[in-house]
Formats: sequence, C-alpha cells, structure tokens
Amino acid sequence: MRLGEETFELDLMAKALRTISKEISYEGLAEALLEAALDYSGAARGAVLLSEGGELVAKADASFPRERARILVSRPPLDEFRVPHELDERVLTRQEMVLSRGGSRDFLLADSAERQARLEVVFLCLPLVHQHRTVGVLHLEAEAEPEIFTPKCLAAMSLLASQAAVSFESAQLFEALRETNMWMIRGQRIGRMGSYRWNTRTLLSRASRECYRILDIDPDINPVPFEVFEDRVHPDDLPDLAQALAEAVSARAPFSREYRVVHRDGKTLNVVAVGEFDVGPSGDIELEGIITDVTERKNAEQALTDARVELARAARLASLGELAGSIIHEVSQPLTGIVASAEACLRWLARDPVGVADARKSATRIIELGHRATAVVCGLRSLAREGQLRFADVRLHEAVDEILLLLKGELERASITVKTDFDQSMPPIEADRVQLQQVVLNLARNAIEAMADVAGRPRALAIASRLLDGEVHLAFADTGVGIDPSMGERLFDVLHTTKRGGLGLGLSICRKIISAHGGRLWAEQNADFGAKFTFAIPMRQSARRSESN
Amino acid sequence: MPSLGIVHVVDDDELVRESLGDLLRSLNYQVALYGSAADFLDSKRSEAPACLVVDVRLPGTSGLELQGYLARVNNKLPVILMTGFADVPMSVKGMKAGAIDFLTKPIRDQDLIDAVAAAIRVDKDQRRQMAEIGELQHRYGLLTPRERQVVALVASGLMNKQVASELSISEVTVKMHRGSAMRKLGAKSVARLARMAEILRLSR
Repeated sequence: MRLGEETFELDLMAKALRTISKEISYEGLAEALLEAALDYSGAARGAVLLSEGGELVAKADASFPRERARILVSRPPLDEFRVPHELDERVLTRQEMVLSRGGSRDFLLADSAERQARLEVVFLCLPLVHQHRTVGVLHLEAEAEPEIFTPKCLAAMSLLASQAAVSFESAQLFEALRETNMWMIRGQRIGRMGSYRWNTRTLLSRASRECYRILDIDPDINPVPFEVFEDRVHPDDLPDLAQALAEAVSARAPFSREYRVVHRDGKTLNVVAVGEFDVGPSGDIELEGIITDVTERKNAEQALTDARVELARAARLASLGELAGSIIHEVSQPLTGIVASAEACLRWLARDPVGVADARKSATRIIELGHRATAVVCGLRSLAREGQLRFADVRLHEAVDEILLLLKGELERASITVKTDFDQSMPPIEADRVQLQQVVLNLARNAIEAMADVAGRPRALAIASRLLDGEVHLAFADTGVGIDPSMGERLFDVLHTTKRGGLGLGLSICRKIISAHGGRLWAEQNADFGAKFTFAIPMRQSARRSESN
Repeated sequence: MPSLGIVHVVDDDELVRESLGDLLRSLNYQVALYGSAADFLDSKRSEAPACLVVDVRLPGTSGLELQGYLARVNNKLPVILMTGFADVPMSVKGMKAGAIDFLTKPIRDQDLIDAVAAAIRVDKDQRRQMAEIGELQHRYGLLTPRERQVVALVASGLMNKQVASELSISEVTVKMHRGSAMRKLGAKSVARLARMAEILRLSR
C-alpha cells in the first residue's frame, strides 16, 4: 500500500526531525541523528562525527571545554573513526554528499569477520553543514544489495543532516547558557552573593541559589513570599529594613541596606542588600539586586576594631600610670603647703600676744594653695572630659578678655604689660568656650612664668588674632626665656616640664583641646627673645566635619 | 622667745617652702628658705644648731646630690629629705647616706616637727662634741712632750712603775708629770684621762 508506506515514511521522518530538534546536547544530537538515519535508511552501520577539525569550538565560544571538541557516536561502537581519506576533500571541503561502492576491506565499521566475507558495500558520507561550515559528518554503510540508498533516501538523509546542523546552533546556545548559568552559580557561591528580583505588587521574589543559601530558604519555595524573607531577618533589624524598603519603593530610588539574617539553626549572618527598581517582565515594578553575605568581612572588621580598642586602652592605661606620678606630685605639693600653713596659722593664733599678721599671711597662703590645687583638678577634669566638647558660637576676643581680667592681678604683680592685636572683622567662631578659655589661660600663665626671671628688658605679653584660610589663629608672644630648640615636640608631652614645680600637664592639655577642635598648637622661638605659642582652629566645626568625611 | 635652731628649707615650689617655713617659724625655729641647691650652697650659714630640709626633686642639683656633696665636704649638717613620690629605692639611698628622715608629700606636720626636732638635737650633739674636742685639743697643746708621753702610756693601761721603767725615769717623776697633765687637761680621774686620750687619738 503505497500511500500507507509513504505515510509511514513521513511519520518516521517527522519523528526523526522532532527528536533531532529537541536535542540540546551534542551527544544527544549525534545519537538522535544516527538513530534516525539508520532507522530510515535501513543501513547496517553508521557513525556521526562532530566538530571535525575543531570548527565548532572556534565558532561557538572560546571558553567551551576542549574535550567537547570531538564527539563520535557509531554503530557498532568504536573508539576511533576517520572519514576515508579519499573522501576528505569532497565531503569536508566541497561539502558534497558522496555515495561510493567498495570491497569489504573498505568496511570502516565492520569487524574482522565481516571484512573477510569480502562482500561488496555501499558508503554514504554526507557533510553536516552549518552556516557554510562543515561541523561534522554522517557516515552510513550498507551491503550493496539490495540497493537502499535510493534518491528518496538520499533526500531524506540530506534533510536530516541539515536539520541536525541547525540543531547544533541551539545546542551550542544551550551549552553556552548552561555554562554561563553554572558560572553564575559558582561565582555567586564563591562570592557569597545572590541575585533576586522582588515584585513590589505581588511581594513575591525570585532568587538565585546563593540567595536561598544566604537566607536559609528551602529550594522548593519558588517564588519566595515576602513573609518567608521577613521571617529570616533579625527582629531588631526588620523595622528599619521594612521602612527603608518602603521609602525606596515610593521614591524608586536605588536601595542599599545592611542587616542581619538569622538562620533556622540560630546562625546569624551579616548581609548587604542592594537593588534598583525597574519594570519587570510582568509589567510590575520590581526591585532587582544582589544580597551579599558579609559575615566574614564583618567579623574581620570587628576583630580589627576590637584590637584597636584594646591597644588604645592599653596606651591610655600606660599614659595613666605615667600621669599618676605627675598628678600625685601636683596635688601633694599644695596639700603639703596647706597643712603646714594651717598648722602655723593655729600656732600664731595660740600665741600670747596673738600673731595676727603672721596668722593672716598663713591663711592667705592657704587660700592661694587651695586655688592651685583646684587648678590642678580642673586641668585633670578637662583631660578626662576630652572628646566631650560642647560646640557653640564663641566670640573669641571676649573669651580672651575674660581670661586677661582673671589674670589681671598676676600680670600686675609680675609687672607684665599685655598688648592685644585682635582682628576686629572676626565673626563668632564655633568652639567649646570653656575649653578654649582653659587653653588661653594655660598659654597666658606659661608666658607669665617664662618672664618671671626676666631682667633688663620689658616684660610684655602680646596676644594677636588673625583669620587665615578659614582658620582662626591666636598667638601668645612673650619676652621670656624662650624655648630650648632641642626640646621640639617634647614640649607638649604629658609630664614634661621645665618649670619649677611645674605641672607637666598644661601644654599637653592645651594640645588635646586644640586637637579636639580639629586644630593645631605649636611653639616658636621669637626672633629677639621669648617664645610664641600659636593655635589655629577651623572657624566652623561643621566645615571641618564635612571635610573629613 | 629664743630660737631653737636654724632650719634651712630648699624647695623649688615657693608656696610650699613658705608654708614649711611658716610652720617652723611658728614653732620658734629660725628659718632660711632657698629655691635651689645652688642658692643654699651660696648662702652664709651661722654656727647655730641647724638642719636642712630639702626636696629630692629639684631643678639642677637634686636633693640627694646636695646631701652627697655635703657628706663629701665633711659638712655634718643633718638632712631631712622630702619627696612627692614615695620611691622606695630613692628613700633607701637617702637614708643610707645618713638622712635623719625621708618625708613623703603631702607631709604630716607632726612628722616634720619631729624630724626637725630630732635633726636639731643631732646637730646640737655634734656641735657640742666638736666643741669639746676642740677644747681638749687646745689643752693637749699645752702639755710638754714628756707629759704627752706619760699620758699616752698611762692611757694604754700601764702602772706608774711600768711607765717609769719604759721612759727610764723615776716613779716620782712619772707621778709629777701625770698630775700636771691631768690638771692641764681637766681630768679628775685616771679613767677620765684615758677617755680623753682616746678622743684625742680618734680626732687626730
């Protein structure tokens, strides 16, 4: 029944073509092609060899693994197969279909027994051509009688071959896709970084495998409902995260947030999520982004911070011990004086007649010593208070004048004349007034003490203010003994003192206060005699903060 | 009221040294104040009983160095050391070098009062001894060579007879020299003479 036979053949052909076109791997494609060709033609043996000469490799993607460059399937199975040499040129280069007859010794696919049978055979060798390149060959062998490679059969084989060649394209693309996907998965795993798309209308998310690992979500939950995600966020971080998300959604602004994720086994991860909004395939607004597990980095940072804190604490303790000696000395000096003077005072009062003048002197000295002890304590307090400055608008000149008023008596007793040269254009500056006055007091006192032994030249303290590059400079120049140039920066060290009964704290306190204002304090030797101490602080603390950011 | 003695106070802290001076003056000591070791060494000091109260930590020459210097020049002025730091090795060093006391600031006034009183007493004793030795040496200078020979032998424990045989003179002559020497030195007994000879030998 001719029609029936044709229907059968068409059916067979259609099935073969379907199979071939469905295949997405090279091996599967080669298998399907060989199967279909053998089925349809009735040939006894056959082979499909792909990527002859490495063509496929070069064409597809240079990163394809090389071992895939050559794929051979055959019936019966063989390890090695070569297109007969005499056919090379015609099949591979000129891309012709070749049908030829030969003796059994030419059986490429026959075993030795069959070869000895010396039967006549027919070869059909046709190129698999894709985009003008030969990407493989289909080789079939059959006994010469009966004639199976009819024109119709050859046409069918051609059709199969060209369909197979087209399927290579999809196989290639699929391979490339699979490869890329594997890269992504591996890359995300190595980088501890997962990608997600969150639909802002349905609140469902699709996410990569790594996202599931980071968020400890079962792989079969897909898409991921928002509640499942919420359930993993650390309860303390959830309100802020939800608010940040809501704000980002309403503003359509890029989203970036760090929060903690708690796994079901209690393990806590630090993650950073970033994302941007766009319209997803569904037409809804979606947040697309990446979640990165930064736990290890966080731990390392924490360890570093801990180490720094520990170091700073150790350093502070060391300098505390260093300070303690100085403090003991500074406090015990006035205490010694107070006790001795008070004892003396009582004795003067107990005399007959009462030593009123002496008692008054003793009492006066007690007060003076008390003030000195207070100054030491205040100095220590400002040292302890370091870092807790209260910034406000300060009229520098007023603040300096107040201190000069305070020192009036001391200055007069020491026969020191004060000259001020203030920049009258100076606006209020941002500073901690009390702390700044402490500095002014210390620097003025230093000047007074430096001039205590001066003879033969005027004792003068010149205080000058200037505005320079957004900084306020205040300089204290005296006509005292000056600075030993070898002293250098040690001048500002805690405990360092050149003064008789000196604190060794004053200048180090001054420098700490000025540093806390983001400024500098330095000392210079005057050209003629005496020293000049200058500090420079920024006009505005806000300017300084934005600069340092 | 007469002065109980002179207290030299060396402290670089003016208010502290004035306070200490004030206290000591109220106790009827005469007080001399100095800001540094050099100031003290430059000063003229009287022969009255005195002591030195000095801070260990001084600019320039330290209190311990001043103490060491005084010892080297055989100045026996009693020294009281003061310090703001209770430094054990330093105080051991100061006490070994003969300090009367080592006071830690803040100083308890009674400690200072006691220390100064003790120091002045030590100085008085020293001065009295020195005066006695000077007097004795003066009197010893009045003795004839023969009298000195007799005194030395008697003080070494020999009998008059033995001394006479040692010097090849008569026992009567020995008695005569001995009596003259004891009169000149003011020794009322042979035992006292022996003691004087001992002091003279040591101070020589």
